[in-house]
Amino acid sequence: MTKGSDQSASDMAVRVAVVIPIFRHSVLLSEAIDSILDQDAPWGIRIVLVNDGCPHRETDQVCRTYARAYPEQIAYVPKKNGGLSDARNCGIGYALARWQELEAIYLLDADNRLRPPALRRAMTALDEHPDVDWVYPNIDMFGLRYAGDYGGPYSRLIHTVMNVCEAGSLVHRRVFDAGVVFDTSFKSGFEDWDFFLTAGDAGFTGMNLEEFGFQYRKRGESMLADSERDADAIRAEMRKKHKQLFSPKGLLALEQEEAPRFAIHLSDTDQVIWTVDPSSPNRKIYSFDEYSDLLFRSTTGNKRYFVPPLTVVTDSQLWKTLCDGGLVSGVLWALERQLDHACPVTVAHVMPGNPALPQRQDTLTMRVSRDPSAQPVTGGMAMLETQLVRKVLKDSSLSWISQLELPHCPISVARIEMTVPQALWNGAGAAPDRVACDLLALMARLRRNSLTLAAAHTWEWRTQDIGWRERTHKIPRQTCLSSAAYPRVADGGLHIGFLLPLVEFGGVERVALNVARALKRAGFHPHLFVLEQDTITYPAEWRETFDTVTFLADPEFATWGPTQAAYFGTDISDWSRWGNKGNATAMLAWLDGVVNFHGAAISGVMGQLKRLGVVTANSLHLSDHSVFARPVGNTYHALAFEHAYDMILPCSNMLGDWCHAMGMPAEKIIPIPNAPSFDLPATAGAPRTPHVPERALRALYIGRLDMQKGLDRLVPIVEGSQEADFDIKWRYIGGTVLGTGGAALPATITDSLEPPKTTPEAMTEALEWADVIVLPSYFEGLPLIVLEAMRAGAVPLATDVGAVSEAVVDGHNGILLSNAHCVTDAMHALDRLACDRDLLQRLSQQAIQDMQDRTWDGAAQPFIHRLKQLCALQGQSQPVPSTQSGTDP
Amino acid sequence: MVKATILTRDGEIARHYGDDARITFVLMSPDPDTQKLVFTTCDGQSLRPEQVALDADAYLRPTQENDTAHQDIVALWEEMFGLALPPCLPQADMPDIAALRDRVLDVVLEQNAAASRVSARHMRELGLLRQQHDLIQASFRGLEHFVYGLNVQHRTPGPIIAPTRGQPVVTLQNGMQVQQRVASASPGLCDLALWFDPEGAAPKGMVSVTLTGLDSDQVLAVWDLQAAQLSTGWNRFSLERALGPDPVSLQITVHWVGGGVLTLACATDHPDPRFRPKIGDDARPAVLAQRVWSWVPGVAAPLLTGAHLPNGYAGKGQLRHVGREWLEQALDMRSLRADIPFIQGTDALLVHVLEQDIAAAIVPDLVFPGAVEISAGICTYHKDGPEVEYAMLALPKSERPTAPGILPQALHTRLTADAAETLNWVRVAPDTASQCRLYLDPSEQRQDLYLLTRLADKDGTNAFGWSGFSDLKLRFGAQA
Repeated sequence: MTKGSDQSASDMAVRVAVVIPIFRHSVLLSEAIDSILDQDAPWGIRIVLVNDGCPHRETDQVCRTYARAYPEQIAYVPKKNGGLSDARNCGIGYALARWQELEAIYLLDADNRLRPPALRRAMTALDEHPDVDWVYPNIDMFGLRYAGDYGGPYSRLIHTVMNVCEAGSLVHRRVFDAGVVFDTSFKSGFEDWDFFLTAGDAGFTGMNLEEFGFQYRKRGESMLADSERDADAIRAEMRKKHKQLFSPKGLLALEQEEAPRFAIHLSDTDQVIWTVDPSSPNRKIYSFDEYSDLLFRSTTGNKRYFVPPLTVVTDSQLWKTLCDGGLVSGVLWALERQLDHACPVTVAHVMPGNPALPQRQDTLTMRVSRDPSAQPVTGGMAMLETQLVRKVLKDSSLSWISQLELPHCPISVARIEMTVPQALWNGAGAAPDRVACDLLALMARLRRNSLTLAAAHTWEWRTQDIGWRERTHKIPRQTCLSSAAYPRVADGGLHIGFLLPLVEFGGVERVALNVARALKRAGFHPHLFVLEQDTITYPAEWRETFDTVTFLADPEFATWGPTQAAYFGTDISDWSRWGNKGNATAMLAWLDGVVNFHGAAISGVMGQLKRLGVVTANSLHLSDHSVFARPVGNTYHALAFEHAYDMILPCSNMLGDWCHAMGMPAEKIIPIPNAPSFDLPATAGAPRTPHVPERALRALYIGRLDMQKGLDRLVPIVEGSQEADFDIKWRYIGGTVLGTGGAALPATITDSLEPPKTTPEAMTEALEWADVIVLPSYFEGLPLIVLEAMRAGAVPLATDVGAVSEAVVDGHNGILLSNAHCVTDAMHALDRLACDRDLLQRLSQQAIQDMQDRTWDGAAQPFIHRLKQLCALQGQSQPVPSTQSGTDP
Repeated sequence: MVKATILTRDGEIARHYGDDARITFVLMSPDPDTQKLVFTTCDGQSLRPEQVALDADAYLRPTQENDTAHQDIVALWEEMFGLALPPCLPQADMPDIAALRDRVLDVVLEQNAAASRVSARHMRELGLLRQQHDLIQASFRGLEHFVYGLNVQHRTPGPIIAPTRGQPVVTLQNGMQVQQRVASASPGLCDLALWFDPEGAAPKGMVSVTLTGLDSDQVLAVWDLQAAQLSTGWNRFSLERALGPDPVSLQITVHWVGGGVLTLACATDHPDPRFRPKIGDDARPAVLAQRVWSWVPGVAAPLLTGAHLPNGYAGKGQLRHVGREWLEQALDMRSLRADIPFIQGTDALLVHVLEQDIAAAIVPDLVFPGAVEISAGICTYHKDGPEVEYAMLALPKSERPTAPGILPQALHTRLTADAAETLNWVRVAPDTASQCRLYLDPSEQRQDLYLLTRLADKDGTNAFGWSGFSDLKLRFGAQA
């Protein structure tokens, strides 16, 4: 298209229209127009001049002059002022309507220019890449000179944090035909950024053309300069508009697809896995040589070639162990969080439990140490930033990194010490501890590559403006303001987090386990999150239930931490209100739902999680008592944060009534009444044999030995029954978890005290042995042991506290003891039952019958139903059967 | 035929005036649904609004249109186009077509006059810009000459991507070409060097070296030369004028046509495919060995001796500077070793004056064919030194001494008292800068340059006789 050949220009088929919106650039406009007239394309180009109500008459005169001089090439469209977006839309609409054969539209600002081959080259790029929908340039500025390189594959992930596509891009018409337009509400700037994000939302994608030939006029003051002043507000608007894109799940999905965070070197198999989520089927696997080539491309001063920003070195055995055990995401997350300027390398030392200590064979521990004191670096997995790898490659020698092998390593290394249950330990022999050696071997091997020499020179002349390509892992962090985004990606299943401050053998944990199992049977994927402890008991039934387990490992978090405020007399920790909740939020933001099991302060993240599209639920069990027996605890804490929860899950209907009475909307309250917390073993199930009158009444205490359980009542009951010479045989099973509260146990109890039963077989044996169980607690929820005992036919003698009476009907299937006269009532009941075995039998049979239909699947059904509804509202998938997570690479 | 376009609301008015060869009526009216103006010809053909906005010369206001109605139409027009309604012509003032024509003519003439004023202003501005451009060009040229005349300004060497031993080379057979991206920003680039080995190439074969700007698809310079003009090692290609400040990515293409094989050396392997040299579609792993120099962007850099000049360089009376690298090769006539030092802190070659003898430095192959004049700065760099005489002589390579301390016969002849040809000795006091010149008959062969010093007082001492030659320039005739 040349100025002197209007005839030939008008004859050529029109492929591209250039839309030039004009407002105030009355004189510079002619350069823009002339640069289009000077294009050397072998096909027709049309220009649409859109005068957006410019107050300078000169603009109108210039446009008329050009339109009259080139009537076949230039259309002049004056309009009332509507802003840049409106002007562009007007020009686009005009062009598409006027020239039906149009294939693409170029948007040129009135003060910019194009080199003569620009449109030809850009259109060729579109022709040669039919999967590309727009071609965007590097930014070569004139005026205030600068040249920015925006090269490399288009990344929608990076596009969420910086505008990589200048408006001066060639856009295929199918983008506009699909209804993508400039948003006229963006009047303060960045409207082109929003346009391309919208195009991406619609499934379109772009490509950089290195030598596009676009020239950007840069002056001291401009609309862009104005936009930068309002940048924060505009970005906030964009995040609201593209909610799904900017959500944690959206960003993680993009990261997995475009910029996998980790390059995991398996030192024994020479493979390198690229992934964010180790369980994702979209992970990429490269040979070492392939990876090397890709790595070295990124070492020669450009930012166009991507390599995962975090390098992990380990071996295939440990990798499999962590994957199969559902531990790998938590470990990777912990390692990444510890990486910073102070600790450039993080190491995980993973070992099996000591087989010589069977009582600890199911222990799972994770401890984080940032002790800067020089120690040997041992472990099976190491992580460092790939930027550091590049620096080591450019170093004159390996002397710095070689210090990792020194007995007293002077490099600050953060360490994760992890003990896993013996059953998870796939590897034969000792835990791997040579990762320092493997890391050094990797570096030495890379340095031997001849491609290292190229890094010594400067090759690029443009400033590499996409610095984010080397730190893409920091993009998903921004939503939660965390030090690392949790490395899990949505896979179409429904993933529910179970939050527990600790995992021992307590009732809350048992309830959590059983609810998780019910969810798993319903097709959900349960995940365990340990909020406060660094050591948990993680037996087989837990491992088989939860897909993964993660430790929060946040030293600032405490379930009941320092506080300056109380709600209804219960402390509300400062952390839950003002603390640094980024990491806790990031840990959970990828889930579809979370259930808080008495995690107290963790309620502080629920509001943010709700805003991020996570369904939130709070499981309540009982009100604790203060020293002076004032009700306090998680139930009252839940009142303070009720608004942040979609569902409240009390363990009994009575507790549900209490919640409603205290102000929670009824629709939110979905009781999951407790049921027996373990399945009867195969050996159980035979009808209980009738009680033998001649035999002594077998009375069992089974539970924690602490104040809550009424230890100070149990002792006089036991001693009283012995003094009164009741025909009773006592058995005591339990241990202390929360302290005895100062009650001294007599020798008659301690001499025959059995440790807690941890298996269904042991529990069943104990309960089937017992005729009665005695539970003189001061406060309870709906005790699981009562239900389990009733199922086994052991008649409960329990204080009428909490929701005990929801299961135990006095004289019908058990005996309720009054709180005020617990000891007396218990003595009376024991005497009666010892004497009246028919009564005992009747109560026992009724107890068994009443427990028959009490199951967790039944109890959890309303919760599951509501959970599905809420997840569907959030746009999430329906649950699908869970599969084993963690596979071989 | 160009017609004036008159807007009106009333078709009757248009019919009243009748058809006219030079006036087109366009009817406009508000669309009741959209409240936007729609435009048609008198016979009902729909017109594009923006075309009407472009073409309309005036608005014919009907007599029955009151002020309110008129304001409405003005507002609708402004709402639609953001522009004022074209000049208004009241129907009442124009009883017939002739009167209308007169008024339209007035409007058009006024537009014409306004356009002429704009055009005249543009021409005036262009003239001002041209004048200013002339002045700047003239000043700049004067500045260039001043700078060149004062001292040699060294080009700034860029990164050296040196040949690497053991790397495979690039070999070009007849008709083949290799393309290599240049590892440098373009602004100010004035010289580019590649490493050639022309030994296997037919001497009369043609090498064409092209420098291209990738962003602009522009050929920036072409050097065409015969293989015989290449030397083994670095071959330097100079631009007439350093590349301007507008930055582009650069690519060098070497095309060989001729018998035999032309070889280029390579440097390090490069991981980025963009920087790998390409022969056809085949990208080689190792980058071509290359060097670049830069100068002030857009400015003609002083040309260097030995560099290849681009095609089309007129070069009448061109002046070439002798780079330091030439003097570094100078041989001491006494030892025939290339170990002559430079005077510390200067670029002057130390040809230390001798007692009872002539001191000589031989710069091999410096005098290129076509050189007609050689000038050099001379100075004895110590205030306590003796008076020294300086001279230069160009001799064929065949005259070069083969043993240390032996004067070439041609030089010896010129030193005798009754010599037909003598040397033009220039006597210089110590610590005084001066210049000496050598005028030559143009030769077709390269010659060596002899830099000579001797004591003005034959019996004097040569203590502190730090006699040095610097700033050598060769001037060539029009055909060089």
